Amino acid sequence: MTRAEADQFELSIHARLLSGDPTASAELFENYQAKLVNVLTQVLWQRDESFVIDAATDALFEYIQKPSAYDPEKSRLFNYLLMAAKRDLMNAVSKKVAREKHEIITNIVEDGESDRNNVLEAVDRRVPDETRQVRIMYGRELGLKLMQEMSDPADRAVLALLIENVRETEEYASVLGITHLPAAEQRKQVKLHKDRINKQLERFGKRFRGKAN
Amino acid sequence: MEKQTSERLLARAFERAAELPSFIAGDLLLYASLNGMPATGVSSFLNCTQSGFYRLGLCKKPDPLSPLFRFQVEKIASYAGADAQRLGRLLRETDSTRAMQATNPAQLTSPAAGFLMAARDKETPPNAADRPRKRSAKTKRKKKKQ
Repeated sequence: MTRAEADQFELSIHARLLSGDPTASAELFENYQAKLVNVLTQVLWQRDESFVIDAATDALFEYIQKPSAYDPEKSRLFNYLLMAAKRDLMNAVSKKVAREKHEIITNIVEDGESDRNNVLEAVDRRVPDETRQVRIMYGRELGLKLMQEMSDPADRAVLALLIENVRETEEYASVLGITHLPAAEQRKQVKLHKDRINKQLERFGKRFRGKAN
Repeated sequence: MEKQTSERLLARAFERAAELPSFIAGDLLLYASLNGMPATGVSSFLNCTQSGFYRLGLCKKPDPLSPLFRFQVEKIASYAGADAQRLGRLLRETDSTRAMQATNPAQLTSPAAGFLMAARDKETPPNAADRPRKRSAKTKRKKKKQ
């Protein structure tokens, strides 16, 4: 579909939805559902495909049920749907991460202090690793946006390692220039740095979601 | 491969649409359940492909009471590659089943009973003997005295 054809399709499908054409909704799904899923997967780096499919599907239903909420003068229909799908995806992922955190806390309380080693093992199995959390919650797009705002090259390098799924402390110690320190101190410094960046991501993610809403 | 992915996505959308009353998907599933058949049985009944079945479910449901009903059913059937006559019948049946379920769920003892009742409502011309008789002014006065 060329740009001109897409524009024509969007104007026509919007008008048909407003007039109650019964096949317009199905035609919109046929033309835009897969496209939305593809774009969301590329820009948000979301590995859980079901989240992406649901977000794209929900955005389409939301529009179909209330087409008058879209103003063709303001944006292209596909961009409008993409924004709605991104917002849905972020909300769904945030809820999932919050739920998982809650489950983990509950497990720790239920299992008790005496069984601490087993608890830690259980936690390790269930908690997504830091990189996965970064990917799930903030995605490639947010990670890259935040990176552009970071002035400290060391912060940018740490964020790049997080996004690239690097787990070895030595790698982080190397970009932070602390390889001369004892191993325990390196671990401590790396953890502090990662925590700080995760906090920044969290704040940045909230700001982004605020804009999307 | 691309076709498979697109069909899988449409299948997911169909599932969602089945939860929304304004789409045909719910009616297709209701018809399957009323007739004790799997969803694939409905696509065979309508002579359409699996993909056509999903696209059909994603169409907006036409109102059986609207004068445009027949025209819209034909349009939908042509788009999804389904048998228009059977689709019209299916939509009328599910619509009357829903109407009866809404008024008196206990009345609906079996899917077949629902279908027969809907057919009887449609085919039998209203018989004066079956209509509730209006009370005459005399009867009303009598009742008041009591």
